[in-house]
Amino acid sequence: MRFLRRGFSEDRYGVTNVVSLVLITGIVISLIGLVFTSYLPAWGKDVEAQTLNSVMDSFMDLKGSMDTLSVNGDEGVSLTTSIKLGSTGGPVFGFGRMTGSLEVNADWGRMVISDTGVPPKNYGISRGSIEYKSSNNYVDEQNIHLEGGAIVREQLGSSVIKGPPNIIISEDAGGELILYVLSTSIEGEMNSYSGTGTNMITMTLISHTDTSYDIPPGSGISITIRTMFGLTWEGHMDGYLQSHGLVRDTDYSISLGSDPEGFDTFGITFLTLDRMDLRTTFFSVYIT
Amino acid sequence: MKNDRGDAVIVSAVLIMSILLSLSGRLIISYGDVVGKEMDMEHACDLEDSFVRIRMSMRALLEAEDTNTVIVNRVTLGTFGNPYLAVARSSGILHLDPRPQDFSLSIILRDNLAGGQRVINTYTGSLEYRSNNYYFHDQNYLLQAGAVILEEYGSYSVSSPPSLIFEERISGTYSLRMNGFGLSGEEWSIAGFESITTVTRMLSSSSFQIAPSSNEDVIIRVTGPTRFAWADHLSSRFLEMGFGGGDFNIVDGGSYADFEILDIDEFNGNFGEMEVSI
Repeated sequence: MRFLRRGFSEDRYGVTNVVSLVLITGIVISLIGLVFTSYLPAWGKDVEAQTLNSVMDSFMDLKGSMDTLSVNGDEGVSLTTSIKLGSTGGPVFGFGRMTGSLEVNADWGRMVISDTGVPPKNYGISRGSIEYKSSNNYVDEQNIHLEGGAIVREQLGSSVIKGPPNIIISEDAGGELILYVLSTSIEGEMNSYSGTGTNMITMTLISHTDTSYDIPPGSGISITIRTMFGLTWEGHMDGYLQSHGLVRDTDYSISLGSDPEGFDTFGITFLTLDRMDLRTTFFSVYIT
Repeated sequence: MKNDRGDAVIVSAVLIMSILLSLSGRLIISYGDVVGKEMDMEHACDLEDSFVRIRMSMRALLEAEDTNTVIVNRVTLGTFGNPYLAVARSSGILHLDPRPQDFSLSIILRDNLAGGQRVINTYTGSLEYRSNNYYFHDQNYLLQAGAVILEEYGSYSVSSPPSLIFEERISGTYSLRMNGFGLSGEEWSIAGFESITTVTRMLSSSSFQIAPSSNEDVIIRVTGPTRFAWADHLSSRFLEMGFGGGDFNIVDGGSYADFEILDIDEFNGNFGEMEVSI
């Protein structure tokens, strides 16, 4: 006991090292905690946003390829676009790791072009959409759809058309109102691919037809598209047609509803057309 | 006064932390710079691809004589940086410049006896991308009359050539075919990092055929800062196609450069007037 008392009383500096080490460790752990709670989530968000932008770029390239092949009309010619479904994350603990899925869907994107007679006469039917769905950790989920020739981006319940469809209105030199529609069918294996890797989408033009129809006075042309984004299509077409001088409910009308099979639809009817140029194309889609 | 044991751990810890901070600083400064440069270079390649894709769309529209379809293409204006290495984002500006004073390419038929010149066709307008890189030197791209032109360090060169085809007929005559595009639309600029879309539509198409007599020459006249890049490129292409140095001539006209084709039997041109919306 005597020895112990002497020991405590004589060495008053013995704990300084331990206290310093604990304090420094505390500071380091606090700094690491700050980085984990503040910086890494922000960096992870950045990585996810970068991946989502890259997916949107791929969809734009895909649409550009389809439009170019449709114009060329070279049947049997293919164009391949790469798409990165997700990300393995950044270098520190994989922050920003996210996955995505890609699917060719035969149900949505169906487009029916018909006249306004009773019963209506169909001029063309196309179908198919390509859908990307993200599974994020930081950024809100983002889904991208290529349907009816348009790219639709959906996030937080709202959507926007990022690539316009080929539904074009023009007036020729004689003042005749002409509607041009590029109706694209996407056929392929209806599989879903998911993960973080890169997939290749190969589009092959199988066939195409060009037809021109004179529209008699009193008749109109209806385009009905199966879509979950009817309001977005309505806003886009309203803006486009009104910028070309057309008046809603005089030159065209819009309806939102559902078809007999229960799918939501967007319908637009052109009431004052003189002619319709319709190009119908069939694409085979192969994803690897 | 003689107690020198208490600060040892603190000093060691501070030293270790200093070393770690120095290493991470060095990593960010050196490796971040390398990564930034790499990203800027990759972006330049992607941008050239985008310009080539836009031209491919224009060629498709011209060959199909399709004035209905619009083709959407993507142009990514900048890089995304790298948050871990504090790599900054590089940005850029996309500018549609339809003004003929900034670029025009004219096909002219010159009568050497009478001394007159007749303009057969003129292509105007350019789509320009100007980079604002942080790491790699700036590389600007221009799409003019079907050629993609690169500008760096203030000089211009053709990085993707226009469509110019030389045909030698069985009859022994020589013919040149050129596909070109005029760019029109509202003058517009957009700047930033993100991907934006360009919408291309052909407004009209036309073709012409010139069969110069022995007293006539065909001249390709280019105005604007890219005129010598065009002249140099045409000169190289003609030599590749088997023409000799006496078959063509380059004339510096001050504000324009003339590429004179002195010995050709036929010159065919396909021309598409493209409306580009950004």
